[in-house]
Amino acid sequence: MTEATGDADTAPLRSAIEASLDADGALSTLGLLERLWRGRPGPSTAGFVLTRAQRLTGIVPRRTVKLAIARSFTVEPVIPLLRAAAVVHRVELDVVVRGFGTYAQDLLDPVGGIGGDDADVVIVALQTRDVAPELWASMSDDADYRRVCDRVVTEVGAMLSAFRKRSGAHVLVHALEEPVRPALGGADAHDELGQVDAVRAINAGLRELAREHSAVHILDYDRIVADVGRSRWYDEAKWGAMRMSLRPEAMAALANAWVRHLFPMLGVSAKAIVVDLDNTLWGGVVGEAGPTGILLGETGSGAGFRALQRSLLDLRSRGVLLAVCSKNNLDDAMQVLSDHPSMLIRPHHFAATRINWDNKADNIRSIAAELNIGLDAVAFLDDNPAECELIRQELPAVTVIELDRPPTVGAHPLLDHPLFERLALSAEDRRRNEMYAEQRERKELEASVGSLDDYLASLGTVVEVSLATVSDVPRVAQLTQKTNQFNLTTRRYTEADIEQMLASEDVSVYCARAADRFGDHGLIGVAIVSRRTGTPEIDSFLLSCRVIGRGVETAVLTVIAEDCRAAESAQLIGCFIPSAKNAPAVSFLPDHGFVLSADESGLENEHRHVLDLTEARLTAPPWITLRTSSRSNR
Amino acid sequence: VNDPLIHRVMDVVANVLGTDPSDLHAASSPDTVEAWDSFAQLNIMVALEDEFGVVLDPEDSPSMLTVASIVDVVRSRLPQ
Repeated sequence: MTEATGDADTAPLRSAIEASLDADGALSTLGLLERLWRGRPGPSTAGFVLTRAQRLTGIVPRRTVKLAIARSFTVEPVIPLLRAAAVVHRVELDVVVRGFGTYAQDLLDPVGGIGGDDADVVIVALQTRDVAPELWASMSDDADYRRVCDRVVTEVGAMLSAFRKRSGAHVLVHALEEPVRPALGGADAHDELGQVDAVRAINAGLRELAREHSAVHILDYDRIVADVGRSRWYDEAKWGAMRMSLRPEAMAALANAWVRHLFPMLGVSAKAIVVDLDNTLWGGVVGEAGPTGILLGETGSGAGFRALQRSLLDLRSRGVLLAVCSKNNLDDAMQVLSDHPSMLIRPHHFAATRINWDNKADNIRSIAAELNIGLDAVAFLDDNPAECELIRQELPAVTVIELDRPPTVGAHPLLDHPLFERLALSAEDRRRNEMYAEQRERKELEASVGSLDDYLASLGTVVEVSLATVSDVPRVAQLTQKTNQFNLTTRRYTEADIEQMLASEDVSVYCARAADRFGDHGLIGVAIVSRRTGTPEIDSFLLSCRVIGRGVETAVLTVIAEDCRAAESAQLIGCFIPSAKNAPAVSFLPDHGFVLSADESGLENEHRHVLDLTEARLTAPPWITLRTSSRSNR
Repeated sequence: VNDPLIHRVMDVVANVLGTDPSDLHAASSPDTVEAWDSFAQLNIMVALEDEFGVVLDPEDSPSMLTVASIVDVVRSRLPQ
């Protein structure tokens, strides 16, 4: 982000975009727009990106999001930047900026405020000088900072509680930024509770609120300010005249930070990244230069490739699956991967490996199948423009990240990429790569064992079914959001929704955990049974794809049916709602004795089935050890 | 008309307003372009600051209400 050099820097790329608009596929042009935004985000680029993106046809948005912004200051000039930062990743934002300074009413007021269905996400954009002026301007003699802290945290807490009663929307609240010049100067740090300490105390209180409320997240605004520089953030002249406090550079940093939080909140994320080797993980071509001739190390241009590897391992630690797809001789590539002293990534880090001379589109398809994820959850990193273009054309759902120049320590396209952000990591996220490695061993065993039943028995699968507790809520909500294949109804629920169910007498939320001799899968299944109409009805039933085909679903259904029978219900109702992806679940209900109901009272497209509990007796498959626990959900 | 500065200013203004630069001319103003409201005016100012690396005061705003006058103000702020 150099100043005043925008024209010199971006003119060639802008020209290339203009030419591409008429000549290339829309995804190629969008790739160039993403590169332009990444290289020089700001108000000027935002206008260019939005007007050009509008001319692209045939791009299917990943997601269209309704966003409301409640705010204490003028954010309108940031909106084009926010929309540009999202559109280059195929996310359309439908933004409503609420009234100036009315953030409290927007959240508190059930009539005039943000309605239950008005927004998928709400940003509460605050700054210290508006909500805690005592901590920003010069102090008054009787200032009691403890009271200021209590007041701010209590106010925000009341706003969140009131809003949560009518909406399950995600909420992103700005934490406060530290004052540029504390009243006491250097002595602020030594005072019992100086202004900076008071801001930090408020922020700790806000983080506590986020833990108490579901789907509430805190934006570390001070960190974003600090990244740009406190002295370069504010425009006091525009603040005075128009209540607009941000300089252009600050707007870009804020818009990008918002996007990095919005994407993971909404589940807009890549689950796997498929990487090339030559000129991507290292400089040069190993087949030509040999294992000792490639560029990789701690100094010079080899350091950039090492930095890129470090970033990939960071992604892996967030639960993003790493896979390799390279046109190479396997021996050459493995020699570097296994033995090169400067490699950070080693063969065991990859959840899937395709080092061959096949078409990369075919390889990526087969990687997605092996990892059991959709192509829309796959990102592809390659330096070769032809390979990138092939994937854009053949697999338009895949996110192509073109390494258009060698990576450097401070600049490469994975840094701050919003598709790889995670808000919170579950134990499952942290272990995901390991679990896939275990699954590969499982498949190898499958190949070595004769019959399927023998194989399943040899796994020693243990399934534990219990009622969900508060600590299960984030993972349960995550599974309803992310599970597409084995999912009877594909109903998506927020953490707030699940919490309401736990509190209801009429709803039981079951979770299933599975383990086998290769490892612990964690919480992999959810079933929600509602008794609102008297007869128990399966509202949701889903299973993570990594345990499909092993009878775990039968075990879970057995527990539900037994519970219903114990409660003296004669029938159990199950629904199947077909989606583009849930074919694996299509025969689940009929296979277990459910009969399609003639009852047309349900929604169109909702296939209601009934299981006669007085007749049917379900049993878990013999190869599964089923444990039920009577943990209460209250 | 061949002044490259004019073209850059026109591009910035057109991008903010979501119009084509060929639809704008020297006398274009909030009176002639529907999308040019007060927030668009603010957005034009910050986009110009970003594009040219200049600082524009809120007091400059009233004298920047046509394309021609915007070019004049930007030119006066650029280093000679």
